[in-house]
Amino acid sequence: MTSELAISAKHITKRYDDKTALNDLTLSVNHGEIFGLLGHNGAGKTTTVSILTTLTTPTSGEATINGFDIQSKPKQVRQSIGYLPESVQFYEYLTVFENLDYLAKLSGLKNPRNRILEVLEFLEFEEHLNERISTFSKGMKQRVGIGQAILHSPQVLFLDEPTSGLDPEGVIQLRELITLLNHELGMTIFMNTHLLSEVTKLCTQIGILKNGTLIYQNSLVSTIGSFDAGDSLEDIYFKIDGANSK
Amino acid sequence: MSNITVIARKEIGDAIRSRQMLLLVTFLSLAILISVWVASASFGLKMTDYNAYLSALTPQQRLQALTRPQLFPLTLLRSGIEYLEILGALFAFIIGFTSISRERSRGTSLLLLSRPITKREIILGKIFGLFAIWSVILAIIYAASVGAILTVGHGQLGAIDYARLLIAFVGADIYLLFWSIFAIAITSRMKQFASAILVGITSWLVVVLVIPQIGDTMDPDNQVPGGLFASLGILKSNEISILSHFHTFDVLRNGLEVTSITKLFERVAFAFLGVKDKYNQASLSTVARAFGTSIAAILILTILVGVITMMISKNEETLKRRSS
Repeated sequence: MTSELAISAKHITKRYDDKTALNDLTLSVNHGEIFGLLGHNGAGKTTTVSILTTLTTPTSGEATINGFDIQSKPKQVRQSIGYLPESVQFYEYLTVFENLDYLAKLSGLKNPRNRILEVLEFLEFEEHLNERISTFSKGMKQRVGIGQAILHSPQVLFLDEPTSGLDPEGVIQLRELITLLNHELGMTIFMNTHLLSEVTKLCTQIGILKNGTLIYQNSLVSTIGSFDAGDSLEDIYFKIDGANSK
Repeated sequence: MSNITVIARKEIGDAIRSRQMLLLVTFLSLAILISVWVASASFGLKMTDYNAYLSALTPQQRLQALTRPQLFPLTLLRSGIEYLEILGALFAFIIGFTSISRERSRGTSLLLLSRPITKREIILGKIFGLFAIWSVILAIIYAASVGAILTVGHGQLGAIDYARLLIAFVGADIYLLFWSIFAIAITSRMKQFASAILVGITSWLVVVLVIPQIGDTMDPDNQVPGGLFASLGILKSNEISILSHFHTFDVLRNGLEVTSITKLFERVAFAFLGVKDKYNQASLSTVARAFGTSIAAILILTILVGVITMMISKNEETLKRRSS
């Protein structure tokens, strides 16, 4: 199924008891974009990803991913997306291959061995195929995390704070990988981050969440163009954030 | 391969690797096998004594000798069944609990839930996996027990005995599955693992120990070791006649006991294995007729807890929370 928008969310609200985590969120992401959702801790970024990946149901509103409604077609949505949680956890007593084999089969791949090898080759990680994940660093786990997310060739990839906890080298490697996924495989990427530097280096579109409300969405180029020439993205972020505090 | 099969196979693989599983199963198996071995050894001595007595007789005396004593080797499984009732239920609960709690505490449930599968498939896969695990464990325990009866007890088992064993095996499998599914249900539903353990242990205490104990205490025949009526020299026919005067009391006692799946399982297993004197020579169809309601109740309770677990799995937060 093809649709004009990779991600479309309309008036999404999520309440937990008396707390509103997301308030009337409306956003759209075109195919092939790298969308960065910025916001402070607790702004509602993870709730947004949880809803769009069908892990949480919204209190109200609707959304489609690749044209599939998240509430009426959750299976199709999950078939067409890949998801890397903020702190990805694996079955540590299993090898990379065993972990990916299990997850690939659950993604509907019948004989996933070749696909696993292909993905690991793409990630330049094939030499770790038979190693147990328990021996891996955070950066290596994140790489396997990307691997499990793209096994079934999804069209949209959701990354929740992908560089969180990585050392500088790991951040650079992951950034290169995300760019590669977008440029070479044509994946639309939706990433949560609170790091402005990530957005500057990776994203084509940005959105800013504040206290559960999307206060800004535009392309990175337009955003930078619509503020003072000397403003850095940090300046722009605080201007937008500050304007919405008043 | 369906998603349910993939998850079931993973569950079996995890069980094989799990040290906790190995420890629990070894403990349970040893407890059962030692009890059967001890009972078999005692049974073997009786058989040896009887055979020695026979060989000491002249051919003439042998014709007049006492008829061969009625020894029912399957009754040697009595303690083993009791261990299954108590320890087996507890361990089945722990294994069901672990099956869900480890996914949640490790955070791997997020990976599962982000796949194009439903929570129901995940739960069903785990249930089928646990069923397969219990089937294999019980098959090994039963086979070893039969081995002890045949070799240590020198007992002789006929085709009918193997049929009785098979029925008791299936009953035990379903009984243990009930406890594992129950654990999955409450662990999936409860926010905190500690709450799930508390509810589980309380339920286990009430169902496995308290209710059967109250039922046993209310049984007049249990008031004196060896049986009240037997100690007073009252015949079985008179016992039934006496008990008919306490019909309401007996209905009450029975009503209480049947609320416990443990007691239901015990009744069925004891009847089919001939632990209860009344049934050790009865045909399978007679026992099945007498305990049809209990068998149906065990099946219904297990299916019911399974259906409730499936309904709980619809809940958004099922499997997802991470707690300690």
